[in-house]
Amino acid sequence: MEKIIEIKDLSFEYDEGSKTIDHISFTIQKGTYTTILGHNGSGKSTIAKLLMGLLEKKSGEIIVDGISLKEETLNEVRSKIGIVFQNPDNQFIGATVRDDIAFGLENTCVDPALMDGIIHEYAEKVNMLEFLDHEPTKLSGGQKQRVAIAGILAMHPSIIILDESTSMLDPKGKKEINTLVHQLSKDKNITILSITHDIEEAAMSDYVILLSDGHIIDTGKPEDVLMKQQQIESLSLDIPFAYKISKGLVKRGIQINHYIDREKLVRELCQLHSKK
Amino acid sequence: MSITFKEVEHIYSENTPFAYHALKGVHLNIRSGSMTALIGHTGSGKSTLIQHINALLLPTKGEVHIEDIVITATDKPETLKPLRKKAGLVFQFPEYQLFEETILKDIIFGPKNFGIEESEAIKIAKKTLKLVGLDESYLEKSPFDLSGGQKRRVAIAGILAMDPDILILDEPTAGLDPQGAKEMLTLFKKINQRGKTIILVSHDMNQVLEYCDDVIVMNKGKVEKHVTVLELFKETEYLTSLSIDLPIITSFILELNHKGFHIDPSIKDIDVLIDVIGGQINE
Amino acid sequence: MNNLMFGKYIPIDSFIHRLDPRLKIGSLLILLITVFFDAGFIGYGILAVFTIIMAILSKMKVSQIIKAIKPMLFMMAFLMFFNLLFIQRGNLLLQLGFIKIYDQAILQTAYIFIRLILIIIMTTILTATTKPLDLTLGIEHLLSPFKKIGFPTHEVAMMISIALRFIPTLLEETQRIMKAQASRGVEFSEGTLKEKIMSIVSLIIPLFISAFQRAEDLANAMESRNYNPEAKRTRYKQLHWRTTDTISFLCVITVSSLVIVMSFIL
Repeated sequence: MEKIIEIKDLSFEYDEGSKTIDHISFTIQKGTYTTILGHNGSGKSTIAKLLMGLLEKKSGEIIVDGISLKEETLNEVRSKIGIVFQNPDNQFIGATVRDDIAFGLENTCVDPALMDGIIHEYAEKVNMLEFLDHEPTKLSGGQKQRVAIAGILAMHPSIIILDESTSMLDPKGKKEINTLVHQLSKDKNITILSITHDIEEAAMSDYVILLSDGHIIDTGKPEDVLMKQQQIESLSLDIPFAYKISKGLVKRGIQINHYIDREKLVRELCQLHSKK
Repeated sequence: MSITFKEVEHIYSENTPFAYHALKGVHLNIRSGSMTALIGHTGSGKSTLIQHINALLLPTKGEVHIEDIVITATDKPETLKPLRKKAGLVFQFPEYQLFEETILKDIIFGPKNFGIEESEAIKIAKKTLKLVGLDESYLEKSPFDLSGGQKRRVAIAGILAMDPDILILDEPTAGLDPQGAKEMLTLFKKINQRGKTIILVSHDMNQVLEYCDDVIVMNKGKVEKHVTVLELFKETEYLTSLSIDLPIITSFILELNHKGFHIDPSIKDIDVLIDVIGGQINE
Repeated sequence: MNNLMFGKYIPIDSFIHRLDPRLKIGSLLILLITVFFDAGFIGYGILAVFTIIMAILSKMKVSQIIKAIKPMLFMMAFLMFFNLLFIQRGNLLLQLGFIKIYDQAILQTAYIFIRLILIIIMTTILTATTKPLDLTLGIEHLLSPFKKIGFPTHEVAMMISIALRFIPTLLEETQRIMKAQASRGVEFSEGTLKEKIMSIVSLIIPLFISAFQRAEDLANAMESRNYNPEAKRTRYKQLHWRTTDTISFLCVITVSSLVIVMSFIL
């Protein structure tokens, strides 16, 4: 698999000496769904902003699809990445859904005659076709985030970054976005990087990067990273529910595998139960 | 401090083409000293309901009784100020209401508005700051130098400093990480155990199960259910019809019971659950 | 906000609604200037008839016009009152003590009344028939020649569009903050001057802080979507100048020229 994002020895400080990001390195493979997991204040959103060149790194290298991120390559890199931020209101630029999706198209000099067709296509993909002429104040958080995703998809990015995009949404909105992102992750041409503190989401991803106080604590598949209880709990995170159950059972002498996936756990429990 | 709603209706922009009937015939009795969850979809009327308790909104029809104070449509705003102290309302993302130069000044702002002497207010502020988990060194800092989670604690300290008998919390853990959420809810449970009536508006059923005694379900401006938490989570069909997810522990138990286990679905404690599962496997 | 008739867009379909915003803005400017040329009652009569025709073509209701004039009545009365008393030309008509009222004063005051009414109605027709964003687009197009001398037309237009987009959001936020502070014992309409100032401070500071945060988030979002005000951009919304626009413009020019010429002759 080819690398699509390479971070080498990256450091960043918000204030002098604050070491917000302290010499981190990691790689993301094309077509994967990676989560960056960490508590609030761990620096995870800062990584997203550094990747987009919205913040200037102190040292280290950021390579996106083979291009090293510098002042001269900012536009090129940004055209490869689409980012959905946390606050649904503060990234909704247009006066209506239509105008907002059009914004990105305008910036990349798309032919105005083609814009209507593109807007229709992507609004449909996120199920917002009936809301094209709605103003943002009449939309729910989940709807606004869907519009943000439509606007990004219309720019054909290779990478989509979700910077805690569901943390300000109600359960309905969260579900809408998680379902949509799950669909998108099936497209192997799109690499997804989700920044979150939700352990259950991380459990469903392909690859997890665990962050704490600007350092990478662990990386790997969810089964490997999320079942190290002490590590996870020391980072103000919760361990996955299924793992809590399987661990507890093992402690009581039951021979059972450890799981982060609930369904698999239920299956094995049923097998054990029917054996007796 | 008991709370009673008697046939309360609330219509926004009455007598205009924009009139919106947010509350329809709400009849409610919230036990003094309980910790009650208020759940329901966005738009079900929760926000309108809670604003009647501290008289930010007056009922269009009906009456609201807070202990022996009665609120009706014809009340004058000046007479309602004491209610703002009796019922402390913490809105969602309360960190947005901070504005003073120092954290100390911001916390004493509320008490001072209700006539508490500054020296007394400062003593109270120190206590409440400690209660929310921040030490005295924060008092002279600017609230804007803090992280989001810390700002939220300061905002909550500001409401606690008014020493309300009723505490209404609108999604107090929204946006917090798991540890932050746990600390916050544990604090509220502690306050409840000291005798304060608490109303918790939440979308997280895990929180409702773990921390609350009773629950009120709202739908389209009406109170559809007011039962204990354990009773509510037995009604799986009803909850599904409202697209409300069960707490993770409860749905797990039901899934296992579906496949042959016999586990009491009212179990809230994960350790108890593990014991029961272990027991049923070893039999 | 719902009661502000002066300045509010009415989403219906009319002849004027369909005209190009550039035409409407340009015409308004020309007509506003024309209003100040004194062509006597005949001149004002012509302008009034033209304005009434425009109002009819824009499907404006009389009630809307009255609602637009109402807020200005006090100011108008004030203006007229002073003019009546302080213009002392022509023939003295009435004297009460030291108050002298001249016939020229009455005439001038009548003109002021007519001018103000015409201005209010014309401007209301513009804002009622043109969406704020179309207005911004029209202004941007009209100001584009100034780009050559370095005037940041696009940036100004973008700022206006974003401000318009956020006005409802900011109003909602103001409400929220007011409620939060009211829950801490703030009474916005009561108290001593000092208390009232404190109330306003408790509202303004959070609003400003939140506005700055929004601005930063927006800037990040815009940059991430490759926004660069100085680079070339295409536009989704296009303005199409039609024959009806040309004809309407010619009518406006004709009426204005007529009135202006008359003002010199009479």
